[in-house]
Amino acid sequence: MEETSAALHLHTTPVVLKASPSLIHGNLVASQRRIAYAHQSKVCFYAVDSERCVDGPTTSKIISLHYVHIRKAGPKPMLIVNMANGTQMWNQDGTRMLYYLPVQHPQTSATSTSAAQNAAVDIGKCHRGAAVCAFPQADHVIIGSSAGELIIIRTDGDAFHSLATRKVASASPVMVVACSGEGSDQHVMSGHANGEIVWWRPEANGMYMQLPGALQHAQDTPTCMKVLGNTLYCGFGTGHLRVYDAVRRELKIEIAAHGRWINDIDVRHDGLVASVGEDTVLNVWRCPSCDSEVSLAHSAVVTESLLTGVAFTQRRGDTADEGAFAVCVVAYDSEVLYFLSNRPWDVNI
Amino acid sequence: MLILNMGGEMIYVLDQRLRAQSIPLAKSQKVLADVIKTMHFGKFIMELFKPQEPYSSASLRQIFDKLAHSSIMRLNESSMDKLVDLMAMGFKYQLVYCSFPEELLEVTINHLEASKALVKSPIVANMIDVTISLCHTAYDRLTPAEFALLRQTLAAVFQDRRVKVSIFLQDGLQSADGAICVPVGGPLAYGAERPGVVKYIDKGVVHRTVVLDPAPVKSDEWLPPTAPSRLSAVRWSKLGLNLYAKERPSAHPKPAAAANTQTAPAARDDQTAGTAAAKPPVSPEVSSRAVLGELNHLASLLGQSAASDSTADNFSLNLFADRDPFSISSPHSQLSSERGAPHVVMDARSPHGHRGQQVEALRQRLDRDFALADGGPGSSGQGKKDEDDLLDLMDAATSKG
Repeated sequence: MEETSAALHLHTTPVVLKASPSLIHGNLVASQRRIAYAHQSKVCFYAVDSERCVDGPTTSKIISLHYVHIRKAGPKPMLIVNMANGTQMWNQDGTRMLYYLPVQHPQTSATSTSAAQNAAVDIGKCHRGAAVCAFPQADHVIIGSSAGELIIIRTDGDAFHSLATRKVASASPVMVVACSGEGSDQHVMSGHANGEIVWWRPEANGMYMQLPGALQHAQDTPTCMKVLGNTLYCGFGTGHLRVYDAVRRELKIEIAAHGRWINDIDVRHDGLVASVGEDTVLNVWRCPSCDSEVSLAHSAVVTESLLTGVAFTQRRGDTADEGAFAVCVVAYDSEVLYFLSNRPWDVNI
Repeated sequence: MLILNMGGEMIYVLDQRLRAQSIPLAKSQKVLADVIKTMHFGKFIMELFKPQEPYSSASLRQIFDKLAHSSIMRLNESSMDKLVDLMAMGFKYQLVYCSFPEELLEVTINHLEASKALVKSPIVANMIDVTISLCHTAYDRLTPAEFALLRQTLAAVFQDRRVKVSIFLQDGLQSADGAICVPVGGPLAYGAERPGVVKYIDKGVVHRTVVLDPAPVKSDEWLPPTAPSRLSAVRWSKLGLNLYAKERPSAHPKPAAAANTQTAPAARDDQTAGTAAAKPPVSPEVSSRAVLGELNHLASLLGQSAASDSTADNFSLNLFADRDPFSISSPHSQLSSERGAPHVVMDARSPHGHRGQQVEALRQRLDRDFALADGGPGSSGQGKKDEDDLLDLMDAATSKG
């Protein structure tokens, strides 16, 4: 791996995965030193502490993966798997399915002329994107759909109840979803296939209201979305990383981060933003908020590979050192997990 | 898109091998014309353009087996396997190299236009023009997100398929383990900017621009976008052109030297040695009756197209007449093969580079048999026996080390 600086150190022994990651957006999620990615229709895990690869559940064609926290469910996150025929919600290690939400198929129109037309509508239907919005009584899990809808599910960690479905005015398929803020200052943002970023005001009864002033990025595609405080970060197909003020609904910073499609970004609590693209490059930016100056902390070329996932995590034993972190990167069709850290790997922890 | 592009690659390979083995031009043109006519047969093409999930590897093998044998040419099992591997790896390379998803449409049109140019036939040209028109109708309306999903779906078909191809290895397009090497730098994607430019925006107006310096990819290694627009009527992509032509198109500069990379996976044990060679498993859906029925229907459509006029015209073509290209000890291998990683030797150089006398004898035998089939003396009753003899001769030529 060619690097521009010594800011991050590559693990000297490559981690070999049991299966190669698929080429999908955001194909690496991490929580509590457990990493998950999709291989075709199977979820695969890598446990940092035990250095073991573990097979997870096999589903239908996986579209995207997300780890989310439900407050009343305890410290362990929930794994959300968006698929071609719906969404599955699992516990952290994929050993117990908590909830299944199928894709709603359209009612056959009285004017539809052929099975082929109905088939054309069904092909490509999927769920994509997930976020959690917190309310005093329960949390809302928000799932995006290819029909341009946000599906709101109420949960207290044990029970799940489908609350409402809200359709974006443009009906453009949802690509990504995120939630910012706390309490009454929460906002939900959705990125759509037509390039627009839409803001919603969440309501406890699920009747989310689409707010005016959606931001348009014509002929561009949002592929990944993360939030830190009131700052929204979004990666796009043109290689741009755009940073928004989630409260004022304004674009504040536009970074030409990659020369090709951005497949994933991740954000750390201290404002480090990692992005990977099909130009084989991993970039780590310093951008703590939409009002801050952007700098480049690290940049590396992972040769020969379409990078498809990035996630901040920790190395085994790094808990005591809050300043220590690791970045994991995966590539399409490659069984290698690239593991980088801001601490040298030969230091005993 | 899967069938059209892999079919295009098949035409390239067949054309190159027919030339390399000095098959008479008339016979070669007939083979290619028959294959193209079958591939672009009206009902078959209409079936392809129906929205559907991609076919599995086994299904693709069945379809292309039928396509290849729609002509007077006959391929043995080994040649057919290698042909499909070449087709798959050729399209996989193009898929990976697309600078943005819409370039897939360019790749498809390039394949179709090139097929038209290889066979000088107004009938073939007309059929391909219809297919090109259908491509534009189907794909011009797709959004960037839909093209991305299309590309991701196709990428899943070729995931873990890593057959090494000699000319790919020679050109640095493949690494030693068979993975396609993604280029560093090169033309920017359509709509992309040179990485490192940071714009600070206030109420929709850029009030400050700063240039950072990301990556070992220097600014001069990024070229302006080649695409004039997201979807262009003017062909601009080099992908989808004939990789086996003597003057091969270069889609991108060669990737940066991998001397310091640690991308090679740790040594695998014997149990996983075959992983790189294993084709993707058939998904459960394919085994369903509904999908099998659809495939049988599709295959039956291939049988309805214009077939060869007479079985007596058939000839067998061993695409890879050198020694077994999977042999590790083959002196024709450019690189030593890793255990379990298949290696296809595709020699695009002189057509007279291998066992000239045996090939010449075979060619003369083919010419004589075609003359008999055309009504020469002794033609009746000889076709089947001669065909068997031809197959025996081809197999014998292959097996002699």
